[in-house]
Amino acid sequence: MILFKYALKRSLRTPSNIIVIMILPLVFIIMPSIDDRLMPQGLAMYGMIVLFSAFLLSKQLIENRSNQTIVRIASSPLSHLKYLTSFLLAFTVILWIQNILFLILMKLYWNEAIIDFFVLLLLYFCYSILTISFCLFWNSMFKTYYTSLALFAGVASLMSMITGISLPLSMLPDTLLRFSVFLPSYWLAYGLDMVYNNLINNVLLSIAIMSVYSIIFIMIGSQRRF
Amino acid sequence: MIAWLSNRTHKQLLHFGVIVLFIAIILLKAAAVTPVVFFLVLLASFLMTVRLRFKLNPSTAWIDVLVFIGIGFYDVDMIWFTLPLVLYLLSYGHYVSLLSIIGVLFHHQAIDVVWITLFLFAFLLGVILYVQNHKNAQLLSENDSLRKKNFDLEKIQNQLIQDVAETEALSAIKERQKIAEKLHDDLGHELTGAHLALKAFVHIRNQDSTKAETFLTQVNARLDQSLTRLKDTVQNIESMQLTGIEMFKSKLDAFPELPFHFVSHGPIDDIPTYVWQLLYTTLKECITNIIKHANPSYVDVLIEVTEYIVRFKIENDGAKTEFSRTGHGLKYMRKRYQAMHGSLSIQTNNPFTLIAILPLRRHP
Repeated sequence: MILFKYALKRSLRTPSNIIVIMILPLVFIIMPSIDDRLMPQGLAMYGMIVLFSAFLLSKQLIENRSNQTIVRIASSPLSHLKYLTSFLLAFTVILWIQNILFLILMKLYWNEAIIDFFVLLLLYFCYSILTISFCLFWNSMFKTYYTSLALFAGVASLMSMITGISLPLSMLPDTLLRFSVFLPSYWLAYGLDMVYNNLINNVLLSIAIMSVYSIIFIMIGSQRRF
Repeated sequence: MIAWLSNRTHKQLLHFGVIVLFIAIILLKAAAVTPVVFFLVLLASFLMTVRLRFKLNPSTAWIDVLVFIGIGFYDVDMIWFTLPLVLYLLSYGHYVSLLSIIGVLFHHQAIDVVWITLFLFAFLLGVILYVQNHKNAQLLSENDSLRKKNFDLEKIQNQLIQDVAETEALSAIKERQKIAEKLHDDLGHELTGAHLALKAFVHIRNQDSTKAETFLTQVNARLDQSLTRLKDTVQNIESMQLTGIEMFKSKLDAFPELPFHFVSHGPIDDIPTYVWQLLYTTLKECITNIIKHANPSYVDVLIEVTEYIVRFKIENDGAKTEFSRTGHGLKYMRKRYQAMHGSLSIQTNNPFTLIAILPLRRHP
């Protein structure tokens, strides 16, 4: 609990985190639909904000490693499991609060266009966990935050572009989509599409895929590194 | 690239190979997969991740194979994802399971160039990893046994060093006992005789002067005898070898070419022999090092004795070569100090300084 509170406080102490997590999503609320669908594009583009928010939050993990905090934690009577779960849980709570606030504001702004509020919320909840686990996995590959950030900025932008987050899936060529399915963020765009096509089974499938992805990323990323 | 690869562990290379194969299969063979098929592929990849993360019996790879065969009913191209399993099983040397998988793969697949290339990649990398793993395990076991031997030797060495002090204490007791025996047997006997004769002389000196004279002669003779015995005893007990400070100074005098400046403070005679022995060995090691590596304009040697410790310092300038930390002489010396609950520290920049501190055991 101490670590959880500490991670929570530390996450909300940085002004850049507050801006990205709490203020930037507001921009996407007013984003209208790009094609002739009912779904406002802001719903999909918000996926990008979640991805970057997760990365900013997970900065603490890589910082803990680079400034040797993790060594001090390892020498205390706290297990690596407890350390990791506390931090990841804190990040998840922050992102979930962001998800709830964003969807409430979307509902207030778009009213009729936001169908299945709770299904969308479930989708975002799963996606938030996926982004956190992806960032954990990503950061586990690098020694310093800045190398990680530099590459992540490129990869995440590209990922958003080709997986239906920045642009609707219907606008992406089929050849590209063949490979996009292997990228985790595709399944948010796919899930959102399915919500608006009223195919609830496919929404559940996208949630299942995101969950398996999250477990895979956590499994690889949770290896203890000093 | 080769250097990078050779520095990776078996597990890292296996991860690397599996990822390369996955990416290659995705790029070369991924047809438009349906979400259900993708979910199954992901599930199988999840099983592979579990296997790479935790140590599972490689035979459990059959679960994955069954999943892939199941996927094969939906999309035959997905059978390609079994290739990483070929690599995985080969790297652990599970040939029986491997042959079955290869059978399944060839049964499902039409053989083309891409298929052969990927299969060969998986096969060769698997074999290399198996050989590397096997060799590593061998080296590791050799290393472990050497470490154990080293550890045992160090333990014995420390024990021996500690025994030196105990042996010295025992020898001192034995020596004392020997002196007491000698004093009792030889000197004691003569002195008792002289004492009795003197008493008799006092008793009869006024009655019988001739007899008294005889007793006095006897006293004289016995005291002469006692003196001779005492000289003999002392001569026998005294060591012919130099000990303590003499031994130390003789070593310094043996090297007139080195500008030694020896200073001592405190009750130097309180230093026990085992400490002298260690200080002497340290001095010898230092002199050897100075002759080998320095051309000094001065060599200061200092011994300070306080109530609880002995501090030995040797300082010299004019180091010709860089101090090597890999040398064994001072390393073993430090171990000997540590075994006696002391310490040895070295300052390598010019002037070179060595400081040794040893606690003194005070007997109540």
